[in-house]
Amino acid sequence: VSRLLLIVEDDLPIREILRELFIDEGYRVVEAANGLEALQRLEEALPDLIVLDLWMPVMTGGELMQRLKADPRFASVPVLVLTAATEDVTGAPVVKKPVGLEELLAKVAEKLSGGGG
Amino acid sequence: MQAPAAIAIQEGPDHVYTLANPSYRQFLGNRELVGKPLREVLPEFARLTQIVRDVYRTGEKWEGHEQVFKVDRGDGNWVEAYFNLIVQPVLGADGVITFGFEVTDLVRARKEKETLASDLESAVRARDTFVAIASHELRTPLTTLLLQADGLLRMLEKPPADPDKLRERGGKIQTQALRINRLIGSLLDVSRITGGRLRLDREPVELRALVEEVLQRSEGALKRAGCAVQLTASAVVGQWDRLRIDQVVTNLISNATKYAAGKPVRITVESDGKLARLVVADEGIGIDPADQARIFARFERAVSERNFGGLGLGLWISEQIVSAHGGAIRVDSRPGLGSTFTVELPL
Repeated sequence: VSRLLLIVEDDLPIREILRELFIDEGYRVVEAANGLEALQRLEEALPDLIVLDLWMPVMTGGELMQRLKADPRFASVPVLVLTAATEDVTGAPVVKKPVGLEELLAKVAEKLSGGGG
Repeated sequence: MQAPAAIAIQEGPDHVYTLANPSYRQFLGNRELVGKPLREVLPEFARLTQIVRDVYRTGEKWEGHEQVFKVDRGDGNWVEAYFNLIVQPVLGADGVITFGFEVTDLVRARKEKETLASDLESAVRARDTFVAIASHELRTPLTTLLLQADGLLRMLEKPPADPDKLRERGGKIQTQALRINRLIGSLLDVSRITGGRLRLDREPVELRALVEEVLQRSEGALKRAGCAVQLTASAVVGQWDRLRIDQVVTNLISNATKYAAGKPVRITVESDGKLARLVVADEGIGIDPADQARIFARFERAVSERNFGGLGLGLWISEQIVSAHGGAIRVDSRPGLGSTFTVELPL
């Protein structure tokens, strides 16, 4: 069965293209526009990987990561941070925006196979 | 020039004045001092009284820098002044002598310098934050642009490519390129405005029609945000810069979609014959009273830790544009209940 990705991203155009490209690549995709929505999606289904933006309204990516760490159900879900912010405070593996398709897919595959920290 | 030293001597356990030079007396409103006990003539100077008492009791010299006292400059107004004070026992006598050297000008100058330095520091900090936000906001549409282009190229590599899908990708690339261009336009506006080069091309502009035009252009964004618009407007014509006023209206409506998603937005256009008034009222998250003045400043966004997208320049640019027209923009807001922005423009 194909892997499930949770895309957490407030910018709608980015969310749309990520969804299309990941689906083309054979992944299943669920989406959230901020950290709080992501928590709701997590209650519904546990993804194989969270692709996480940092700067978002309502609940930021950093705040979501704190919540994930504190919850034993979600603490082991791998996270790939995808951000345009210059400073990263989460300590998670980071893909910097803008990113090309090849690199993004490679990072996602690497993360899903348990690599990349 | 500072005034000469203020000098006074009090003697005995009741600290009776035996000497008070003109400078000392003047600071205290030229009241009669000699022959009177300290507590009687200076009831309001509790701290000074206490210092004199302590020096008399312990026999030890007391020194204090930049002590604040209220003094009379000779006009009956009591104003704050700074003194370097020395209070010490009088050798060979049962008394205490006080020397006061006024340092108000020095302290003021230093404080002014400190304020300037800290203003400069926060300006540099604000600029650094702004650069971080600006690069984030430019990279965001670049991300979509790059991925859409990669997706388009990949489709071309695996024919047959669906022409509709290709066209859609091309259109989205175009949209993001324009978005980047708008952001760059805002950045240029900043340097234009700070350089005093905001030029207005005035022409007759009908405000209601302009607002309707902006609403039409923003239809997609308003729909996505779930904001229903209620427009109450009469036709108002003024001599304004069409593109700049369009920018103000666009910014206010865009803010409503950002901060009042899912809530109705009420827009009013009216005139009293001298002024045109545009009101944009939302029922969104509102603005804390403490932040309400700040939102019109450059590089400021009331909710900076939660990124709502954008450069945080919109209201500053809007304010500059409205002021250049001789008008005013203000906000009335209650946190949790919404914000009402009012723009007034002379016709």
